[in-house]
Amino acid sequence: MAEENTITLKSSDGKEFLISKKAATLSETIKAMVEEDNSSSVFPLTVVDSKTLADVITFLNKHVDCGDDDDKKKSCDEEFMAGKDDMKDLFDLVVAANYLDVKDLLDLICGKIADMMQGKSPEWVRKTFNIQNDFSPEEEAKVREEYAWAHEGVEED
Amino acid sequence: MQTKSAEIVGSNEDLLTEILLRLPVKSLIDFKLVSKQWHSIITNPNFCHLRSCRKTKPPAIGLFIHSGDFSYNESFDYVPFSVPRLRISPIQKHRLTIEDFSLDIRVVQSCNGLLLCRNIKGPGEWKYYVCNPTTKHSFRIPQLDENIKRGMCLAFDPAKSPHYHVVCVHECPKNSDLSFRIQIYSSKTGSWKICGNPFSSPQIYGRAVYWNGSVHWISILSAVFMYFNIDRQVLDKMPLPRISLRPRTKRFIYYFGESCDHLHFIIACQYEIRFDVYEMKRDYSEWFVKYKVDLSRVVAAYPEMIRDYNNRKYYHFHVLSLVRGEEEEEEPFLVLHIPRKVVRYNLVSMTFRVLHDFVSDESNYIMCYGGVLNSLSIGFQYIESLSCV
Repeated sequence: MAEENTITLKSSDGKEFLISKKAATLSETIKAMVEEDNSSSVFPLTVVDSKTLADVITFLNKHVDCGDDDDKKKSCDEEFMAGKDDMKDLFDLVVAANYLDVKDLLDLICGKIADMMQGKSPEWVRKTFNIQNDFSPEEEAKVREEYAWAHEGVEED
Repeated sequence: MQTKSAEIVGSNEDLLTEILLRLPVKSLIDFKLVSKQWHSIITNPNFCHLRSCRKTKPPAIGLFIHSGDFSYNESFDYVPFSVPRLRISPIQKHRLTIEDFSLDIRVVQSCNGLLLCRNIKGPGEWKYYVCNPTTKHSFRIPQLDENIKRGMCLAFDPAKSPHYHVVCVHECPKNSDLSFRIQIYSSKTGSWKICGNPFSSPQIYGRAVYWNGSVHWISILSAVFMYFNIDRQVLDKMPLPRISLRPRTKRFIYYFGESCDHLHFIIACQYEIRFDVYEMKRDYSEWFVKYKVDLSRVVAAYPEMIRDYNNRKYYHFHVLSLVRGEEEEEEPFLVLHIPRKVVRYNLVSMTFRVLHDFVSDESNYIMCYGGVLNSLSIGFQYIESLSCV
């Protein structure tokens, strides 16, 4: 009986995680997988590594425990986010939340990433997101000139 | 710090949008410089609209005030509400970019992030502009043929629509009995449209305020408060506050304005330092007293507020603005202009602090009208916005 209510999620690096169906199906993607293939009990998630998957599972379990209690969810989320201020981990989590389609987690991580970006320079963003500056110096000067009003008080890198 | 996930986020426009939607305007403006893709996401009108829809109304973060030296030009003094360091910041000059640089421009109204401005020529040559002081973009509203305008008001609510309206009340010379008419300009269609039939005696004077989907005018002189609902295109009367408006009481309108979706009205007498702030109920059933103000401590700290007229003591101050926060628990405050200073007076804790010290005597120009509201004694709220004009 217990087995019917649990499934196994397999990370991209081959680690297996046991999770209740109820928690797992908070992910719309897993929900669709389970509905489509009722006979399987192991679901491979090829784009989520074990470290990130462990985090996501912690989040899902916490949210199942909270039920519909929004205050409880809020304090759970705070607890979950405590110490998560490494951009690499946050990017891993946001990509996983997006892929697994877990709206609450996506909101939480997007909010955290946005908090981390506040007051930072465009250069910091480029480095962090691995983005090439494709503006020519003239174009950049033009955009900068347009909004000279706003480009004051940016933190130094 | 290059990771595969960072690249996925960077290349997934939906995910990137989700993150960017949570950033304040200032960061977004900075991040237009990141790359062409980021610039294109942030400047897309749809992004701005999405942002307005999910956010509650952002509060004002500062005030534009016209310099007191009467040399109108395109630059305005900007007084920020929060001063990062424990010192009084110098007033910043802010320039709007208007197509014709030779024009002298003044702000007529601030509405949810956009400003309605006009040049200062003779009434026949008035040109109106809608400006976004954050992006510094501006747009000239096509001229209406009717020259005798009684009021122009910008109506913009980004949470409802990315488009704005400009409401014009003007006289129609052909008809002697029904002598007024309303026309509305829509930024969606780019044209003016006549609304309803002409009407008589509109009691529409002076400054208009947009709130709750309607444009509002108040007149103490005629003791009529009117509003015009834009969707329903109906002109209606508002109830009056339960306070005597008779001229004998020497009461004047000290403030009439909107903040974070609340309509406020202050009527006071220059011989008193205690007055009420009224707020209108959303169903227009009544003006209720929202805050009780007592400026005695401000006067005690700045006795230069006390003036003398025919051996009668009166108090020199203007209410430049009333600002409420996004959340109910954020403390609302008045921005007061007292001789040579701009003061923030917190309405709940009744504490106050100086936001700005005028170095010279320039503020005296503004004070020369006593307690009467005039076009100079008002501040225009600065609300950061990415909205397109």
